[in-house]
Parts: sequence; C-alpha cells; structure tokens
Amino acid sequence: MTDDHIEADRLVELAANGVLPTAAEDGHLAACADCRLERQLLSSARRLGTDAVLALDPAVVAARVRERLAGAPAPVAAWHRPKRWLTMLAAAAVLLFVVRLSLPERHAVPAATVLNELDGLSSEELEVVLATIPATALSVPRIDEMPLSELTADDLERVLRSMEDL
Amino acid sequence: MELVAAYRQGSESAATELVLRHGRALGRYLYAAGADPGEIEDLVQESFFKAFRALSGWRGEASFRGWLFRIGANLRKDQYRRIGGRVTVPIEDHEIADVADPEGEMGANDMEKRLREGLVSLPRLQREVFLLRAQQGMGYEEICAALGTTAGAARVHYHHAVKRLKDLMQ
Repeated sequence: MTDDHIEADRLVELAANGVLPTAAEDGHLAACADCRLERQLLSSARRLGTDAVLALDPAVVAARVRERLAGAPAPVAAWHRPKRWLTMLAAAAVLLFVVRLSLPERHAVPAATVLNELDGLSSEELEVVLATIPATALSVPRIDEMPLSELTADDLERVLRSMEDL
Repeated sequence: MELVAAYRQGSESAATELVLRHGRALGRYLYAAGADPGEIEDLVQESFFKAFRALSGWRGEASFRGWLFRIGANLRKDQYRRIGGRVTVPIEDHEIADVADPEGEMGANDMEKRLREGLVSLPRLQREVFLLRAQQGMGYEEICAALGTTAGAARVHYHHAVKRLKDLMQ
C-alpha cells in the first residue's frame, strides 16, 4: 500500500475470489472512495460474462472443433500459399507504378523543345523521321495513361522493368 | 504447453482438454469485449479452430491462453466491422429488478452493464489489457507477450482503462 492508495496490482488480487484484505487495507477501503470504487470495478470485471456463457458447453464446442479439423484440408504454411505470393507481387507492382508516376521524370525533354527542333523540317523530312519510328511504338498507348485495371501481365512486367531503371 | 505439445503429436484428447480448460474463459472475455451473447459460441469455436489449425507454425512466444485470446479478439474485431460498429447490450432476465433484493443484486448487475458499455467504448488495447489483467487475472509478462507490446506499455494501457472506467462508473 502506498501512502495514499492501495496499489493497483494488490487491488486486482483483492478482486479475485477468496482473497481478503488485511486489517490495514480494510480500514483504507472503508475510508477511501477511490480504492473502493476500483475494487468494485475489478470485482465486476471478474464476474463479467459469467451468465452469458452458462449455456456454452465446452465439451460440445470441443466436439465440433474436432469434427471441423477432421474435415478440413491440412493447413499450408503462409509462405507456400501461391495466391498470397501473387497478391503480394501485384501489390508491389502497383505500388511501384504509383511511386513512379508521382516522381518527376528524369532527363525529360520539354515538349516545346522537341517541337522547336521539328519546326525547321520540311514535310518530306518529317515523313522520313516518322518512318524511322517503329509502327508498333505508334500503335501502343502509353502505359501510364491507362487505367490500372486495363494493364495486362506484359504491361505490368514492362512497368516492373522500368522501375529497375529508376 | 504440455497439452499443446500433445496435440502437435496427434492427441485429439489434448484438443478437447484445451477447449474444456479455456472455452468458458474465452467466452466471458469475448462477451466483455462486446460480442453478442448469441454469437459467443460460434466465436469460441472459430477461435479454437483457427488456433489448432495454426498450431504447427506457432512459436510459443506467448502462453497458449494469451495467443488464443488474441485470436478471439481479432475475430471479434472482424465481426464488429462486419456489423458496422454496432454493439447491442441486451436487457437480460437477471437485469430485471429483484423485488426481494432491490439494492444489492440490481446494483451489481447495473454495475456490470455499465462496465460492459464502458469497455466497448475504450480503445482496443486498453480494453484488451484491462480484461486480460482484471477479468482473466493474467500477469503483465503474459499480457505483453500475447499482445505484442511491452510490460510498461501494458501497465500504461491498464492505468488509462481503469481511470476511464472509474470516471464512467461515478
């Protein structure tokens, strides 16, 4: 007991069944409303739920649990679950993709600069430049402009590879 | 721990013994944490099922009891989310005033009802630490191992919980 109150751990003991306070503690409890309230609170906590579980028969619960365990497939270690791996990989890819989008692009050439350089070219020269760009590059939309849901496995792989270059 | 070891070696009776030993205490704990009385049996059953299924990978950092109660609390949390955070505190038969003892019995039951309401309003860690300590009589070492915190932090949570509950009781 401290100078002012019974210690918290001792009050927990006193709330347990069959533990009686010493004469000094008894005297303190009679005089100290705070300790009395705490002891009452702890005693209530000890009893709390006793009625609610009267109908609970642990033997029945045990039988049901054993029945379910017998019918359930053997548990698989968390790291061996393929679905978990795929989920984690997809989550990592999406995260990297979002991070990449939020970063300023390095060595990016302002669009206006490119256009200025092209300004001096004639129509024929522009046709030549256009012919040097592979047709597939022109037909593929930019990945970072596409909704995530529309990305294919190949797209995701490209995103991952581009992340490695960061 | 002997029962856990026996279960791991294939003893089904060890599983039964573990349920007999901890089933009701787990039910009381879940009720105090706000579980609907009608769902306690299902929650207890599910807690043991999950615990036994995961027992092969359990490293035994905490007591089986503490670990089991943690699983139960997580299931209770999931249930709480599913029902949109609503908790019902039913008026049960024993809460109807007993004319033979209007002061004593009603006072205790009223206190328990208010305590349960107060517990539901506490932050999760405060509630769990308080219940493991005050209702289940666990020591701080066992509590902190079960909840993955330190003994000092558990004491602080307990202190705050008691203070808030006392304020609600007054």
